Amino acid sequence: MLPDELAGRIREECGDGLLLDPARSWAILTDSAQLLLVCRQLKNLGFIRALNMTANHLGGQDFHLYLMLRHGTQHDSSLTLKWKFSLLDDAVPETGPGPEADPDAAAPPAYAGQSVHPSLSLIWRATELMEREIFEFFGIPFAGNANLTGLILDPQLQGFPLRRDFRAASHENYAETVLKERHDAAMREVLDDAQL
Amino acid sequence: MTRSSDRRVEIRTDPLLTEKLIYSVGPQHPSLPSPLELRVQADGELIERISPEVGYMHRGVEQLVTQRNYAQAAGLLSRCEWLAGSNADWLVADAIERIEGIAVPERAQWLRTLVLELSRIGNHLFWFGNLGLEAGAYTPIFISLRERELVLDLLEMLSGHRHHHGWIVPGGVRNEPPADFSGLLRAFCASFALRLDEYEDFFSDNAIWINRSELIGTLEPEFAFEHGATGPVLRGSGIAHDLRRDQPYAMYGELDVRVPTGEFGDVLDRYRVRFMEMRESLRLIAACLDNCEAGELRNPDVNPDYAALTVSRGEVYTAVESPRGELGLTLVSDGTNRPARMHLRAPSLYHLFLLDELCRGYLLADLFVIYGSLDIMIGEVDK
Repeated sequence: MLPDELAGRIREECGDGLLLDPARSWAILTDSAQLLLVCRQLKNLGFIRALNMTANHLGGQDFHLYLMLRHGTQHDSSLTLKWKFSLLDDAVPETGPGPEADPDAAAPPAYAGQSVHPSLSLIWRATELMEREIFEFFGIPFAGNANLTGLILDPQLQGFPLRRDFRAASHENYAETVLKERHDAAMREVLDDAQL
Repeated sequence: MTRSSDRRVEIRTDPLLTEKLIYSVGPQHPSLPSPLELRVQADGELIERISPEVGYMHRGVEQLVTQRNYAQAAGLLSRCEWLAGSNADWLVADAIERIEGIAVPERAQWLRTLVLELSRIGNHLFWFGNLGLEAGAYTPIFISLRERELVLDLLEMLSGHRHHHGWIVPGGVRNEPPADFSGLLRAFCASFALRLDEYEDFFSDNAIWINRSELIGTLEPEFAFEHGATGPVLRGSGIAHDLRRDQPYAMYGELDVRVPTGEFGDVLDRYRVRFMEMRESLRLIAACLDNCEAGELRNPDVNPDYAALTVSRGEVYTAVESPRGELGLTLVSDGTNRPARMHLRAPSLYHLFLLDELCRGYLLADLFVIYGSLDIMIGEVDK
């Protein structure tokens, strides 16, 4: 639960675009274009720790993103920020945008095209890992993340496992192609060794 | 004791350097209890850079839980954090209770708190044994597993399972503790307090151990804050943050939880913080035992069939102070008996990626002592 004074300051700084529910420590950002601005304001208000960030695929090109923040000095105060993000079909780049990318510069055109999400890693360093995880599992690219590469999944896996259409489109394909190829190669190796 | 300066060596940048060596440690390595690859770049014996490669144990838990009911989802999540699986049980139960507005009887809350603290002791004992191995001492693993067996026996007595207890369920706990549970737990606490003294005598004050851990792997508090460190790793760097005290859940609000901290953020501080936490857990367990004798075990309005339990539309983030730090769960429910989305915030993920900063400028021989001091659980990293 957010203390009244802190909740009042958040409302004052972040404006009407942020729907705040202090009892649940929850806030919904209605205008995603304000994301970087709101995040900076929240950090200035003392939310210096980003504890968690994740996404939920709503179907199609739409996602909800959740960022969980904790206050640096008032340890009993935390806030979960939620916003919506839409992605176009051809938006996913092969690799990350590179270390020189500046989220301030990248954000406006990215939002205009609704394709690339601005990275929060220059505001909260810890979000770099969280964005890598989201990129890998949902295919949301983050402009400004200096190290936007896979983290956990097999690099040969096609598709994004936490999208709702993953099983229909990619899962069987993975089992039939990648795993079968590996199994066949291993079997050939065993048979070759046996012949020797 | 005063510790004046870090033992980190400045990395040379002169042009007469020999060729850099890149060691691939793991994914199967005697010092790594779970599969993980560490790519270590070294200049002679000096570590310059470490890049952790994870994913060898990925089981797709977050995808699988969306095809399982909530009881099965809790079971799968506890397999990400198998040394203290009750934390995952608590997370799922608490997330459901928050969305549905379910009240939990006070006795059940005391019992939940007790189980979480007992799990913490079990986890820290396993960590202590492993840390000894990393430092080249074989005795700790034998004696710590001896005590841990007793912890597992007690948890088995309570739940029927040694590891994945599934005892914490929405609305309360699953069953009545056996009649002799309380007495046996009190006896364990009394004997374990003496055992801790014994450990301190032979290991904590051992000159070889202090030489291997003091001012090694120092972590600055600001860096720890910025990079998502929580739990004993953060507290070892001097920041007194503990969810049990700062955002109390279960019955921690009724207990005066003391939060031990370190001063220098080195391996020795992280070690001492965990030791002090075990003593604190004993005190909290004693308080729980005094309060959990009578009362309801479960809210009667909650469907006792966990597998058939449906959860209204909602979304929530909840977190528990697990033995490794803040273990968090984001749950999105859609009104069915299956979660629409579950995301586990794994403290070990953030601690693992601190290794590069923690090991830079130290010797290769320090690598596993530093790694051991972080208490990494690969199951929760890979998921």
